[in-house]
Amino acid sequence: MIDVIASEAVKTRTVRSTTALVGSCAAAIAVGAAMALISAGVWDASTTAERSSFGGVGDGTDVLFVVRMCLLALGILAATSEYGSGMIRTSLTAVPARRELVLAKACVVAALTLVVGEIVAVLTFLASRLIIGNRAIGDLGSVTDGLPLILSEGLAMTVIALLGFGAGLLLKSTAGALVAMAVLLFGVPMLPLLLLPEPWGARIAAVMPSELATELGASTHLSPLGALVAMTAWVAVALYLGVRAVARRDA
Amino acid sequence: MIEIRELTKRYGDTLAVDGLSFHVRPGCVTGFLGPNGAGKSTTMRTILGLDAPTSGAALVNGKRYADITRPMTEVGSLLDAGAVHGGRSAFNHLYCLARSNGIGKTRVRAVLERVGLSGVANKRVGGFSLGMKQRLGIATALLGDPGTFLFDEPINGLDPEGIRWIRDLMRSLSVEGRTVLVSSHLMSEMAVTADHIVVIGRGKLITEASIADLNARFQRDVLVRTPHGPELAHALEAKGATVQREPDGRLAVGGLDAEAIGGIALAARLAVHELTPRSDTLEDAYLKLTNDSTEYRAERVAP
Repeated sequence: MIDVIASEAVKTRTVRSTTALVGSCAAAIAVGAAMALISAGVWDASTTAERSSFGGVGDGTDVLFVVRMCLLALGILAATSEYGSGMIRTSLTAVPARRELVLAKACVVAALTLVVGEIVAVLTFLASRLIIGNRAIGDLGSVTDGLPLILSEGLAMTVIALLGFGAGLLLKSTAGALVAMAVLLFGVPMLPLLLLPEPWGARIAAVMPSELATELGASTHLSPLGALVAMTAWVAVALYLGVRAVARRDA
Repeated sequence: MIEIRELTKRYGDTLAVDGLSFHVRPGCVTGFLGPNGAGKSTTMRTILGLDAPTSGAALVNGKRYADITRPMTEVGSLLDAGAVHGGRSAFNHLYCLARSNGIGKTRVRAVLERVGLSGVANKRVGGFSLGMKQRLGIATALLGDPGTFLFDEPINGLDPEGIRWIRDLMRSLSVEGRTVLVSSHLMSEMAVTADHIVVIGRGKLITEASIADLNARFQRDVLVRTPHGPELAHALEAKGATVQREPDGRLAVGGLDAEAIGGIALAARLAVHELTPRSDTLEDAYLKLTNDSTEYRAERVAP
């Protein structure tokens, strides 16, 4: 298994999409800082009355949404790039143990997205705090107040990347997996809110993958433990379906 | 050693392989022949565990391929040279595969050298010609220095120099006692490469023979040159032969071999100047064998 994980790490390291996506994530730190600088400048030039309507936007950490999407793409491509090129047949000839191959890929996706996600999230947050200082911009508060939510966001990126990986294995198509994940992340969470009476709408929406970072870091409907259980369950289902699909079909 | 036992593979309504059984022995090159759509690639994919058999089994060294721990060290294969990620360099492509089987970078450099791709080791595979991709595929097969090789149409896209190189490679691998199975739809290619032939059509075994046997089996008639045409023809027909007069006056004798004809001529005291057994070319033999089983056939154009 160690050999197969090492092999998958080589695969991930040696395609340009990885470099491009990780590079984009790193660039997001600078973009976030620039957003915070602009907000701080506007804040300083504003009257007290204007400052009261500044609201929850503009501290620069919103850029983490883009990082989330980049790492989702990385998870999807870890599966679909092999199918698009036919490389999967060569890979399965080298490693015919299909569950082992899929789980080795999942390990690499998880490790890479967790490290990149957490580092970028924390650095973006720290840069934002440094620039914003004690201005009342954004809703994260001080470093100690906001850190749990930021760390949860980093973990949620890994969860979402692994869901994308599972979708990629199931659908074998980059475009298909992207659409499926867009529906899961943006469309599905709206449904319970629209269709179910309170408090059930919000309760069910809370276990959707896109909401779990907030639930884990600043629990509203779920306890932190509940949020972790929900994250684990999503990943388990995605990997189970992915492994089953790869094991059952002819390559 | 490869063993195909009662192998059947069905894709929906299509029966791709139908109760196929044969052995591939070490120490010789076995040609795997059949028209397009005969089931050659399906059989090879099943051997490599890429497709699951509907029934029956395909075993390598007595094991299912999926049960081999480091398969690259037992079986080297090239099915589809295009099945590579175009974004990786040749070196990285080979290295990521090698790494999964515990094979190191030194070996990767050695096989790149052996297939003549050292100069482009750091070039992206996406820019390779079909011939270069075939060489990269051969390099993949050689990585683990295995005892068994499977090549699916390896000469596709190669120039004459490349074709000779592949032939020599397959020869030298078999001389070293390894098992080599190579598929092709070209009999002429197998006639110069293979020692043994397995012919399939519509998923079924048509024949399994050595090249020498196949040559003997398709002997057609004996060409006889004699100054006593009518008399000899009469004597041969009396012994049950069929005799046809060729435009140049020679006799084409069917139903008797050259020895029998010589004996009859001697008994009749008729001089014979030439006795030439004629056989179909292997190409013709192959066409006869597979004629009934060709799945896709163009209408023959009237001359």
